[in-house]
Amino acid sequence: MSTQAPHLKTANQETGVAGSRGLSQYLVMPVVLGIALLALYVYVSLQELDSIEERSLNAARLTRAVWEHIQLTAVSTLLTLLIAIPLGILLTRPFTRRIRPYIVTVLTVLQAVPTIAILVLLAVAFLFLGFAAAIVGLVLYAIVPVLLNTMVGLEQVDDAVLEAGRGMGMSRTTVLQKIELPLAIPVMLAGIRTALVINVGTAALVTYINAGGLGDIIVAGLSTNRIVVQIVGAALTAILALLIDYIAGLIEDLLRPRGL
Amino acid sequence: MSFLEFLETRSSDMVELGLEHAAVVGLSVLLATIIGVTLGVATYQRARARGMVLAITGAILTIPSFALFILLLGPLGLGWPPTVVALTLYGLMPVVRNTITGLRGVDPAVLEAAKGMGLNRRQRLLRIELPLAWPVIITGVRVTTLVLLGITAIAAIINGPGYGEFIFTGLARVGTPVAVNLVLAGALGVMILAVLFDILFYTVRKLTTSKGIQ
Amino acid sequence: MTSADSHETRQVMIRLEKLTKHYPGQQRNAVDGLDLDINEGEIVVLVGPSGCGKTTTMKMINRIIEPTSGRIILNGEDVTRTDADQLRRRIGYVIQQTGLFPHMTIGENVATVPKLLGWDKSRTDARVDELLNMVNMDPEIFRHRYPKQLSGGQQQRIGVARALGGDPTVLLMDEPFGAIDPITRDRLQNEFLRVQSEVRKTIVFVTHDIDEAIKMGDRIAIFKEGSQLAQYDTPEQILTAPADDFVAEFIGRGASLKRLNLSYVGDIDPRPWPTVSVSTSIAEARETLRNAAESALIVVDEAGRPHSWVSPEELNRAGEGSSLKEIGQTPRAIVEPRATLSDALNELIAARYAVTLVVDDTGKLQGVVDIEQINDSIRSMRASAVTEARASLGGEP
Repeated sequence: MSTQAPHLKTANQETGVAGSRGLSQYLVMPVVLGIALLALYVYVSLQELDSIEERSLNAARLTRAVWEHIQLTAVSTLLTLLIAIPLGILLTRPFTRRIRPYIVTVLTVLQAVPTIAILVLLAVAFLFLGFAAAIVGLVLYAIVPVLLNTMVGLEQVDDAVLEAGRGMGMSRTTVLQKIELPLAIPVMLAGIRTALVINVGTAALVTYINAGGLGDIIVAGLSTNRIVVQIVGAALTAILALLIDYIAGLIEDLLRPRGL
Repeated sequence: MSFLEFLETRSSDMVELGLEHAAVVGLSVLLATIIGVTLGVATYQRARARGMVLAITGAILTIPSFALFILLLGPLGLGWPPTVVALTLYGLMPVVRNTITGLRGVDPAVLEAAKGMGLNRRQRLLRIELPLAWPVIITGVRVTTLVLLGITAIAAIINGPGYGEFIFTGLARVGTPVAVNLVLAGALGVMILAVLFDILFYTVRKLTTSKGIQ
Repeated sequence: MTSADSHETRQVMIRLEKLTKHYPGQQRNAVDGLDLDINEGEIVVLVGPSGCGKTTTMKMINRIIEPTSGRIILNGEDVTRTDADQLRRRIGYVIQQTGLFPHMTIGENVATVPKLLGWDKSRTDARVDELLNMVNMDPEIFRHRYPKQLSGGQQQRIGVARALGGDPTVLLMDEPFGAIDPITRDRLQNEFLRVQSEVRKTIVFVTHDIDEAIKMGDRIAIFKEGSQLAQYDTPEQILTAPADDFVAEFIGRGASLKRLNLSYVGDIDPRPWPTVSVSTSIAEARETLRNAAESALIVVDEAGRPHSWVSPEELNRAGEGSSLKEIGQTPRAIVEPRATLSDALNELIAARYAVTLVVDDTGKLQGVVDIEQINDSIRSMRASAVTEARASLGGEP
């Protein structure tokens, strides 16, 4: 989580991992996660739980935390995309040619701001707490990588291809729709996946601004000094993150244009 | 108290936390580089091994740092040990990926010439392939450093070193005037370190890359 | 040019015995039971259409490609199973893409093999300078440059110098001039032939260009598709007596013209031409020309170097007081004995009086060459080639 550079995920495609996965490789992650869940269940069952632990680890509470976590991730990612992709397209139009390198530099430096600092700042500076504050914090942070990925994806489209499109009599808008966006899709998909991973990770921290999620379980364990509770919260967070990344990877493979 | 006044009164804390933050990141980056380059060198020629090591290091990076720090709390306790282990694990992926990309990007003609001149496997790796892949590898190390600088702020949850202490202290005093200053100072410190590390990497890259490939 | 009979006395440097390469999953062998002897100090050119196995054959000699079966004998020693890295340090290797190490200077590139061989610094440095000079690259200027600062032709020169670094006995060259523009290529080829006349390496040279093969080769091995050796002979023999239709078609039209590249002006006796010195008076010159069968005079300077052509009209127009120095026209078609007959033919076709002047190294006029002499030379070449072909019919089954 935190400051993942936008191109972290594209590497999987370059090195041919994602594209050439066989069926067996698709099954590895679900099996691993299933075993991890089972191990966690067995571990908890074997513990003598005291009353505090029982209260923290009941099914309803856990389900609610997971559900909140998913909502936080989904809403923040959706908003991130709605803002970042159009902005990315806008910033790669010809009129920004001169200032584009500066934009990219500023965005890269902004990525070094720790996620936790953004969230906490919202709380302490504006006393802005709860679900809405969490969404604002998550979106603010995740916009940067998605924006960078969109820009990089659109910029790397071969100029010759664009010229050929214009030469065939396509308008600028048609070139964008028919050529640029489809060709940039793999990189943008990678950006979306990065946003998901960042948001699912950062959502674990929004408990500090009273916005719920699986972080609630971890913090409950920390504040009551109950290791079992901490482990359950942390393990569920990790499993959820890996699961969401896995599903995003599947969707990425499905949506990627053929021939790329 | 204004933010600048705050920085002035807490300047020794700023420097001390900054040194801690830089030290823990520096140590973890060093470990991640040694392990990551080794993994990259060991796997870059075989597609399966390459795919596996990238998938695993990529998956590690997907685990939220908050969760990983907590999971390491049991076996490694508080403070530096779990922080360094977690940061090193997070740092692997960019280094491994760039090592593999860099080594695979070496011109096959150059390798054939080297082979034809009688350089053995080790000589080709040390004298030709790694020097040529170096600019790509060091870019990966730079990305790793930026990633780790941010994650370190969260390590304060497990009493880890660095500017996270300011941020979480600020959070604990939410509603008091000093809270905002603490959080801003923490964020500012991390950003200053990010810029300093970037300058450092630019210089190191410049100095350690042959003029023939700059 | 090496004449055919000197081959017999030469030592075999590289012997390929039943050399075979089979790639898994392919039906046919890439190279199939090839036998080939390569003599010491010769350039042997492997030529043929793509997929004929010429490159695979060459790369098996330094075992960049490991043979499936068969043997490679280098200077009497079986190297098929010896340490490949050690073997390669004894064999120079030049490839089309040059493969210069971009992160090393030119000097470091050329010093690669000497360093591997453990030479000391002063010997290595001396060797680098010697080789750079040999390929016409001033060491003072180029030693500390990087490959990217060089043109394609310069890079290929360094490729050759680097391959000669450890003073190998054998040099393998894989289309070394293939990626270079035609004019530079021609110059590099000539330069390389000059270098070879100094170093006398045993060279295996792969190309798909028959003209390059004819120019560079002491002997040419023409491969057919499916790695069959169609003909292995001197360029003269191949041009004059192609072994079969495949070879004839591969060398294409204009075999006679190509053959002109193999003979030199020095091989034929230049014909005399009426000549006067610049100090001769106009009247004397008129007299000389009147008694000659030719339609113009060559005027030479005090050192005997061609100064001008003078025609009867020019002599008639000239006043009594004027000198031969002031009239006439500068000769353009001049060749040295090292020029090929092809060069001479090119010159004389465009020249006045249909002859080209031949001068020696000091520029002194030796005589002239005309189209008749070139024609005679072609005829005698053909005749000797036919005799040789007949002789070989009797000798071999």
